[in-house]
Amino acid sequence: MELKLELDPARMPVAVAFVESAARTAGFEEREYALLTLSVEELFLALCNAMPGCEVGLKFRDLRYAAEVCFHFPQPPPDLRIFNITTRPDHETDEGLARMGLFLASRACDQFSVQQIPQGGWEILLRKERRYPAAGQPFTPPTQLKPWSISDTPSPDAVKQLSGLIAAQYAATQFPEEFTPEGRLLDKLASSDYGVLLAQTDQGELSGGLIWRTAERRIVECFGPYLNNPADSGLLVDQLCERLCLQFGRSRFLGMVLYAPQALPPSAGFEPSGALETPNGTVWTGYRMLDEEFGAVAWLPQELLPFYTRWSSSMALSRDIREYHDSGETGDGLTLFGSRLNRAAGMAQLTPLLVGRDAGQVLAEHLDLLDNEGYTTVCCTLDTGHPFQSLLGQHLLASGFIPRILVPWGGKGDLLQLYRQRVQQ
Amino acid sequence: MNLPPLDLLVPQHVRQFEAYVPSPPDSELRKMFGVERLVRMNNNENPFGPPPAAAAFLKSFDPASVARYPSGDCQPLRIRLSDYLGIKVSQLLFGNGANEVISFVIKAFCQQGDNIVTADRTFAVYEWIARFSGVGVKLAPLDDFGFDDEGLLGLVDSRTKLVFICNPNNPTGSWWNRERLTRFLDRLGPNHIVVLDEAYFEFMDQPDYPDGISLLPQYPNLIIFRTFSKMFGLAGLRIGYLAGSEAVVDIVRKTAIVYSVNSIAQEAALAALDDLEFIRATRAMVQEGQQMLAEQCAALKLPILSSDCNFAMIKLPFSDTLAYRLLMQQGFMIRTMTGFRFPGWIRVSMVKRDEMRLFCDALARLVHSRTDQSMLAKTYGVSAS
Repeated sequence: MELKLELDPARMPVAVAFVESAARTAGFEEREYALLTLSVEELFLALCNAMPGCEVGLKFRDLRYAAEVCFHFPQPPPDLRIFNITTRPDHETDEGLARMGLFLASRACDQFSVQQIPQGGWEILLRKERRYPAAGQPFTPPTQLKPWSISDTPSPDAVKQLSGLIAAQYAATQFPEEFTPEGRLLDKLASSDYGVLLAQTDQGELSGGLIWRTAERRIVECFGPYLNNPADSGLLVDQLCERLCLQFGRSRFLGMVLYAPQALPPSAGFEPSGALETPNGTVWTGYRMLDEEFGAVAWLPQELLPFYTRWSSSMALSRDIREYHDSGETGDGLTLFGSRLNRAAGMAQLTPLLVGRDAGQVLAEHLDLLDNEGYTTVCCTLDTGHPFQSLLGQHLLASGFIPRILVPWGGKGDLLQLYRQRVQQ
Repeated sequence: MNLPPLDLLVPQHVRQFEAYVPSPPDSELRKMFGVERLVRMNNNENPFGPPPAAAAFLKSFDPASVARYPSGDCQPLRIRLSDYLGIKVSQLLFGNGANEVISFVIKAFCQQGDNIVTADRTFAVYEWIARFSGVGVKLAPLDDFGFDDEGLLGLVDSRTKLVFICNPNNPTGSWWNRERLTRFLDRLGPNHIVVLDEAYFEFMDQPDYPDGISLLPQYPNLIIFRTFSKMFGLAGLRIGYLAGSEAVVDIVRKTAIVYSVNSIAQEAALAALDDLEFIRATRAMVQEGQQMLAEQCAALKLPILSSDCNFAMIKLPFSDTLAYRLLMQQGFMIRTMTGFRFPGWIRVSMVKRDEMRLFCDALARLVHSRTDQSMLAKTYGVSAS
């Protein structure tokens, strides 16, 4: 559903009513959408203030597991630093108080992002997820695991089994939080952004499974295989991975990245692209290019050249590697991180949406906050297709981040995943 | 000025379609992969180039003649070819490569709501053109790497206008013999057009391989595709044709683009047509290449699908797209098969003896370097656990 209206405070109730009625029609409960409409209200007013009279487009998407509102406007966004999770408005000044609503509203959403879009203009996206009850029955490992057949349209009951298997047998660091509880996983799979491959015996018992999501524009992110009996499942890993390649082999995607809770044999068809060790378990990352390699320019800070060169060479990527030199240009002007928090695993993901000269300071503030809140693993990505993101590299390394994983074509260019891990006191 | 409202202007079937991105030019690829020489083994081209008579024509071509339009319907070539094939001139239609001819046929017979039926792992262009034309596509899985007649028949419905059979199939090389093909045509009946793609016809010398053109009197619903890109080495000039019954070709002619085949291509095709010695030499090169490759694959314990055509498929114990990059670094350009729905397979075109020998060595180096399990944990950059 879409709505276009002028940025005028008098129109704010129209925007709010649009989102509220769309969310209600999509079956969201008031307690779920109330915070989203609050966010819309505050963001709309902030935009009215920043670019009065401009036309803004509002788009509502029912993702089933979440309600999503997208603001589309023609000019660069106003000062969006308020959306950094570290920002604390000043109660003592009028300006600070004016920003308080926006600050609170931004915290009310589960996901926020801002981007310049190729068709022209800018987008701010707000997403509020549904709430789900905890899992029902605990997972009981089946007795018979073979022979299996693989399905990409399993029954809801089988998906619940997979969610139970993941929760019961894997560390929280080895799967995305959204795969549990089972209701949330089912809703994710019902949207077009997610899919699953399940191996089941003739009696319907679960041997293992693999989940994918296509939220990223060019890369399919895959997780698993999650197996009932990891010690005896080499063939199952190969077959699940092959089915995945068949599914996406002739598609718009350039590649697939697989975050696996066990090392992947070469026969699975994924190339090693790094790994993350945590005290509870390792995540092994495999990459599968789906197309033939046509090369790219990669911008990097000098400090990350050894890691990148090693991996791009091991993966035989054709890259024109260029070292980024800071020439004092303005760049994005300010620094803004998108953040995703996985409290159960103690993991936080920072995605640089805008990188400015305040990058070091903003990063330090984020790390202080995350440290204080007990996050032991923080991931930050750098995109080799954005020269200016290189500015962040030195600050990441100085803050204890170590490059671990390379995802070719994961962003505009290749994505480097850097991790900072702390031992919990 | 703002962009036009593309969401409103572009039909959904076009919006959903992903444009095919062809390989960059060789000069760029050589630079990208740091090699001085690139052996092309990806497009099933003829490494001998065109037959000598066609090459001689190209050398002597008068540049001044390009100021004139070519024959709009390739008439001199159709006259000569009709004589060669033993059919009427009006039964032939030329296009700018067989791809354009596929497009003519789909446009001539299909409208939205109709569908085409073909195999899931075959030449992709039938599927692509149908999809971006808003025509449904029904795909029958291959059976043991070959077209499955039962599967195809099971998908045909009242809205099926075209059934595409690639014979021999690209990329598996499998083919139906005359008896199997005619049995299929009999069972399907006359209510659908059957397109028999014989792009590799000239490579086939088995006695029971069916010549589709000889079946036209018996099956007027049959259309045969052939090309000058494979055996005749004229891929760069883009020229292909179809043959069918007069009534069917008359219909297709309505959607054909006249003047789309340039005069150089028409003249070169005329010169290339009946050089039997060239065909014999190419077949010998293909046979030798297939044998060398089969022996190397046996030594490396790699499954191979050899064929009578100028290509073979090899199953690798690792990613085919990785193999592409690693072989490019050694100067060999192969075709990955993930996009053909054969993940882990590569398709290799036959080349002359010396180049094939070098390729076999490169393949051995590649396989040995990528199957060492003891290196796995080290490669991931973490300790083994």
